Amino acid sequence: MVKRFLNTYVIREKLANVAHLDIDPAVLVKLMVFEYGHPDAYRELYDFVRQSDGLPPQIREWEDYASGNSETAKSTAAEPDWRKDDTFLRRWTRMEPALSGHDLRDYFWLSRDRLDGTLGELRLLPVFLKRLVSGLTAVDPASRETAADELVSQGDEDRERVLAEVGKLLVAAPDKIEPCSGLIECVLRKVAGAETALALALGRVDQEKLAMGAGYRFVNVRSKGCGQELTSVLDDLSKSETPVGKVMAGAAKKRKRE
Amino acid sequence: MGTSSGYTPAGGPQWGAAKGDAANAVNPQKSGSEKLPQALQSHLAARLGGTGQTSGGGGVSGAAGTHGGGGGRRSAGGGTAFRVARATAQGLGQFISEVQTDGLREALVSRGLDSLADRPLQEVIQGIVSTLTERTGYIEEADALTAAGKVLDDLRTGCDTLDEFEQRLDKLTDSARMSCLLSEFFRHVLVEDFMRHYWRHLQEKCSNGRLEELRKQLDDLLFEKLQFDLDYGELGEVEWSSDEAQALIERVERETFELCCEVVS
Repeated sequence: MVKRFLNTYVIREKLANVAHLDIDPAVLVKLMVFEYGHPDAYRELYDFVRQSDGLPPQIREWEDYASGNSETAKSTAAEPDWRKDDTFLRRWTRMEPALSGHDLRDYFWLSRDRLDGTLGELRLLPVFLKRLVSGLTAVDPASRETAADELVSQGDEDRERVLAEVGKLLVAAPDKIEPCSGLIECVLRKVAGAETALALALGRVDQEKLAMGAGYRFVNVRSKGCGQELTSVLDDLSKSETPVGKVMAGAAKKRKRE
Repeated sequence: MGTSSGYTPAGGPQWGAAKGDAANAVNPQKSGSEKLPQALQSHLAARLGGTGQTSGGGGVSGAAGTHGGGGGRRSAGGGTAFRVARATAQGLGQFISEVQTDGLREALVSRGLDSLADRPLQEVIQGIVSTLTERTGYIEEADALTAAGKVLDDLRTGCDTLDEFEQRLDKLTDSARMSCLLSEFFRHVLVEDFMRHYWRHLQEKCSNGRLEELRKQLDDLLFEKLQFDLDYGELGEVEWSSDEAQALIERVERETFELCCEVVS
């Protein structure tokens, strides 16, 4: 069993290289542990991934549940057979790294031999668009700026897909500042559709969990002038009692004093 | 994280409050990272032995006294918290000034690092960092050197060769840019110092992964805050071995820490 696991891992890693997929080996191993430990559960997770274009909200619920932050997942944990004993789910969810905020579609594509050929339902992004999404959500600010510059010259459809993907990453992992910063870079460069994508994402995200540092960027964007749709969302956010709202209110007050 | 484990911070009422605030920052049932700014402020208050009031005339570095680290390792202490960091900041300024005057290769030769000239930039930076300050044996030295490494690593982003890195350093000609760089340095020092003090305490409450998340959240928050507020304007040339440089470093340190504490909501 262990030998088969390792062989499969090596094959998938090579396949990812050949297909130019940006794969985190730790995420691949964690998903394979799930796949080998509970094949039914893996299939169910695949359904979640398919329905959510790679960012299943259930992963966040499981992580909150495993960290004692929420009772939500516990109530659903009783339904399927494999979840009656949730010890496995808890232990697996606590394993590093956390999966919320990771687009899992490529990982499931790598394991397609175990998923009975239903991958047509998995909407995969072309490699060059994936590169732009990775650039816009990179930790390094220079990479985000370069990707935003590149996005300006893309066709309407590709640009919208990239912005929508980054927006989804923001909604899936609001505590990570990078997707937010990537969208803001696009707004500052007047990338068509960027304001709408940011406004939509901020409307759907759990605002309580937004990275506080993003508040400073929002104030900057607001002060430089943006469309009515985004202005209205940002104004509401700055009046909210959320951590990011408090940061925005404080920063705006300080800017005014200066 | 190298120095994070195996270190126990000092005791005392201020440290107790600081530890409590740090624990709240990783507790998902207590709003989690919303408590981070408070934890940071309590930490600085305990670290500097002041009242925690950092805005206005009080000033972070104006607070007298400090607590040394407890546990098995030595901490600088003695009323001069972050002294090692200030010395490292001065070393960083001197190094960059040397590169601008004599070139990067000459600066490496003068530090006995000429053998690194053909090595990857990351190795060159590690070598440079090891020469920025005299070895003191204080645990703060690890924070300061890690912080200096991060600053130089950020600077080398997009550079593939020694010459490209030299050009990047050459652009830091005025002291306003250098001050921003030093502010980045002190931000990294603060984050490293905070994480080291509570790592073992917090390890009992959450996973290492959560602690790394906390480090990143703190770093992101302070980065955004400083980007938003810092404005040094034109400050003129600075001779990095002079008292004037000392004064500038202390000013940057004070202002950075004050801004970092200002985040408290």
